[in-house]
Amino acid sequence: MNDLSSPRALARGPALVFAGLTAIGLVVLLVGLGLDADRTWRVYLQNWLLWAAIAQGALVLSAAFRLTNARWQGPLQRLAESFAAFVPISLILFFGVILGRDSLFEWVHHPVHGKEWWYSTGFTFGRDLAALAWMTLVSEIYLYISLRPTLGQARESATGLRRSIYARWTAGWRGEEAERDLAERRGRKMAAVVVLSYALCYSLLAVDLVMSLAPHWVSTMFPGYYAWGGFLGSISLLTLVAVLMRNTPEFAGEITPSRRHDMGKMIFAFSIFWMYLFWSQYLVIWYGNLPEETGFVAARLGSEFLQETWYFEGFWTRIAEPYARITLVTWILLWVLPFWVLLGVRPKKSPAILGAIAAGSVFGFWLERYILVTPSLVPPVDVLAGANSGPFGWIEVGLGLGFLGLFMLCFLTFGQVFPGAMPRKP
Amino acid sequence: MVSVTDSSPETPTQISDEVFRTLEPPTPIYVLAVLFVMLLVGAAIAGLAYQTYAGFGGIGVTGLMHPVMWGVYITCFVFWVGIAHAGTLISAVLYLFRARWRNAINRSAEAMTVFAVITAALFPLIHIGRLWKFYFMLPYPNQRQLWVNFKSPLEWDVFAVQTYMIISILFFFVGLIPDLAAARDRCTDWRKYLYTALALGWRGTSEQWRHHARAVLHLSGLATPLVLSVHSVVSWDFAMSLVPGWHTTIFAPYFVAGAIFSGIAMVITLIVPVRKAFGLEGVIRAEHFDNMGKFLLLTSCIVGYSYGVEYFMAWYSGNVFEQQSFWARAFGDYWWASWTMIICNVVVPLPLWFKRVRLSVVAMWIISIFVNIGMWFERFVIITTGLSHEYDSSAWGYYTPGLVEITILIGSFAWFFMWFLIALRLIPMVAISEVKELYFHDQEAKAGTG
Repeated sequence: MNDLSSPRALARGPALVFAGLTAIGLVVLLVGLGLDADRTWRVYLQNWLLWAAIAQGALVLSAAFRLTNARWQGPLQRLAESFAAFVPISLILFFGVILGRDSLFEWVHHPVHGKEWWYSTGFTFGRDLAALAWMTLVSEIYLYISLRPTLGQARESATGLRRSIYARWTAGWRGEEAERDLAERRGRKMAAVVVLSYALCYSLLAVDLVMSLAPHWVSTMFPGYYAWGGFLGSISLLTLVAVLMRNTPEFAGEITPSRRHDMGKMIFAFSIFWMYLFWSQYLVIWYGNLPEETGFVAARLGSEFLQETWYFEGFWTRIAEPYARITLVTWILLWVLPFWVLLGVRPKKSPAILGAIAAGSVFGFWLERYILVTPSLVPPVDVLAGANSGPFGWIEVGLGLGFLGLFMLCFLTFGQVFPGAMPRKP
Repeated sequence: MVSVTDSSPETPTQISDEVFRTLEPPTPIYVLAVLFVMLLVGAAIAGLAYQTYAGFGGIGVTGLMHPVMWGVYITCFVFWVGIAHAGTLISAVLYLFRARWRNAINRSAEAMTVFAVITAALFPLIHIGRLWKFYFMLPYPNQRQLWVNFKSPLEWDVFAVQTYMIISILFFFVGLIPDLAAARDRCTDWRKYLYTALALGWRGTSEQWRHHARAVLHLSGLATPLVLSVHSVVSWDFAMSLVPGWHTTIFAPYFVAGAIFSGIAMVITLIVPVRKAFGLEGVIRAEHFDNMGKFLLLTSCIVGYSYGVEYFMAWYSGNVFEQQSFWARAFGDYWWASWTMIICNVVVPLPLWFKRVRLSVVAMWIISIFVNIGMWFERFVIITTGLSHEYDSSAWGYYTPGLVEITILIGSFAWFFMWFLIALRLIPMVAISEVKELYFHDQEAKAGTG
């Protein structure tokens, strides 16, 4: 039987690869800043928006398991919690967004009429930093509560740095049974705090970091839509990682067909909900046809998205407009494929199909963040005039890999330091 | 505080006995209650007749007047469609999520859904005044080659609500079949004929059970999207317009959350007296109140979040019309309605954060009544304040409901309760077969074989 109650050894191969990717990202960041600072900061923001939300969304998933008394998840809970290792890093990386503000936010140079105080450098970044610091604090407390009962057994055999961490985290040990009960009660309370904080803080970040790129655009749905994206993205990444790790010694026999079925159902149901949020926003904007609302959508779907009928004639010309194709690919990856492929039971249980859909969904969110950021800063007119803005330039790919590498390094390190699951009850 | 007692029934026979107690001959209080609600329904019918045939103006007898042409009737429509949502959520969504606690309350929630949709469906008819023209809303081939306006969200509503009504009735009925058969086998009076006809020859063979399980599963799959779609379409009646305070993208999920919020509250409002009157304490237990309380709390948070986002975005938009509309909502002529809504929907449910409150029947009942009031006012506030403060300040106005509208509003509650009370004596109000299934499940788990 595999032992999830002790930390897993660092997988050297993947760790080296991810360290390499991180290094590539760092080099691309530095070179990019020298060559094309505006573009580099755009890509930086795109990636930050993705990985910060996924890390935090994963913790929300763990909290949701707790709050709904879910019993099927097994080691997936701790796997989700390991993603949260990136939460403090995202706080630090946010300073990069602040550094790049001149390239990113129009309002830094031209205050928005009526919102001068709301969008002022000090207040905007101050409140965002406060929100992120609060999220980090809440996440760390949640992780502490969740991890503590598992450390009692592990601290006996731990050595070196781990031993000192475990010793600190298990100060005042009350015995395993009591610790477990306490964690159950406290964890539930903290889970509610995590979920509430996520909803509020990530709504604020959606306004400040995405909506403010086009500071005259308004949509009441957008903050909730953005926060939901982080949650769904984390489920997709969790599924992908679980499927990839299903044959490692720690997880052998854990990622059962029934668990894959459940994960598939989650992606299926929550991607429908994502589509629902997207559609609720799109339809109201399309029907209302108010210029201050449609501009945002037209920049992404092409100027003719407002026509009465989507007749097929001229379809290829329409989608040849800047960004239209990427937007449609995003939509296909985030809803069309998950919906139609995961409709049946068997595809949900198949590791290859489920993993591919999950990978597509994570990649889809990466593209989605690109689509949220870039067209606001490089409008289609500029693209037609020759501005460089494709999603697969060397800066985009390099920085994207860098963020991926850093995120996965945090994840692997967490798994190396902390045990993988609750020790089984005797 | 009266706490929920946790006295599980001992045997499956006791479960049946407890549930079938509702079908025993009525008590005088029950008869009085039915007569009372019927009296109120009669008054509403008289009001409707007056509105329809009085000869001086149809809905002119109401308080509807430019600029507020949608008032209490449309408020009631939205409110009752919302109430219907809890039934589908509890029956279909929680079924798919394998939340087993739903079993004790799903029957009453489903019954409530059917009656609430029936109540809701009356209001567009009442609101059009000349209600014999209602068939204009239905698309059918005709000599005049008139076609309904498919681009109108009001037309989408016709489809959404009809679909919802059909699926809810089907769901309710399919779930009932095994219990109707059980009632058929127990009953000796005239109802035996009714149950025999409705049980469709159910014998409880394994094949019948298998088909039944498949039917429930597939109906759940079909009904789950309806939880989202129906109230979304209702919300688009407003959001598709350009009225300040109505045209906002968050409306669909916000209405759905509000619908579930009010629906769960109505389930609690109904279930607490039923549980007490028929001694169903052994079936509807602590965990049910705890979980319903959590649902109330979650949806209350979503509704509160939406209020916050709406106000924030009204300011953020820099659009003076939006800003004045929301300002008028909170501090204008309708301040009383807005604050009733905010206090009932966001402040009153706050004690639900404490488990002790969720486990107190009295506290849950009181909170649920406040939520019902608050959610009715939410619809009223959205509809009325939106219309009363549009773009042109010289066309602002104040709407006061007329006596006929108030009578029909009260009548709609009476009508809803009337059906519920009648159903109580005719239908086993707890899904006996499902509760028994759970019972055996628990027994097996206790014996270590589950």
